[in-house]
Amino acid sequence: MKITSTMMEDILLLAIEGRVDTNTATEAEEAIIGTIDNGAARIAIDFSGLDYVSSAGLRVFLLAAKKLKKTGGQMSLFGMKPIIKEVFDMSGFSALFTIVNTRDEALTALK
Amino acid sequence: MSQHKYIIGTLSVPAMTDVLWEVREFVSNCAAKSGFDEQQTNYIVLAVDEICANIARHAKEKNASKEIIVSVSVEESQFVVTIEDNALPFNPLDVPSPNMVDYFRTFRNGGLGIHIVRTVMDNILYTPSASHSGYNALTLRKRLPVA
Repeated sequence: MKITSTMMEDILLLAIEGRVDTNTATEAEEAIIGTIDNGAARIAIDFSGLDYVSSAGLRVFLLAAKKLKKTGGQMSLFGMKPIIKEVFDMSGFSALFTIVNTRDEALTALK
Repeated sequence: MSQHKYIIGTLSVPAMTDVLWEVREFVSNCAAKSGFDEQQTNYIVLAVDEICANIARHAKEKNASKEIIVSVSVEESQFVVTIEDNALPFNPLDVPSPNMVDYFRTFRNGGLGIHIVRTVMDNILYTPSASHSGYNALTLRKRLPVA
């Protein structure tokens, strides 16, 4: 699991790659929640490099969304492979997030 | 009436989260071989991973020298995954499935994994370790796809 961050004007772009499972969820949580604790308010997460997500990973994204809600921030997710989108759909998580196809759509959703 | 059982394979791993990718690969191969499409195969892999991750988390807290044995078979028209472990008995079915709206609002810990397992599989049976074996068993069943 690898997370890279880039600032695009005032939007934080996080690209998450590999697997977010029980083994890597803590690391992902520290990285993502850390950006919110450091003041990131508008976050777009690039899922195109993510190959696997389990409930431990879903929890991390939920935690991030909750944190942002408290701070008045926003988050959008984009570029999900079908295998990941299906897990979001099946678990009921899709309804909780702004999920779009492209980076442009994700950035627009945060404006 | 005779019960037809065809054993596809068995895998044993230490009850540790960093080796669960081996279980995922094994179950993925078994499910694909049994005729499930990519989506259903991924769902089954996820369900088994959720159970194994639970066991590994419990085992880690108590004792690191525990193991998980995953056996896959086809019985009648069912794909059957049996997950055995020698950690302390823990019945994941005792965990209620969260209402997702409440889950998001209150963000209570737990329940999401078993919610996924219940969504994916048709039938789940838990048998806590009997004194003679020392192994707990969780059996997951899913109807085979129609050929």
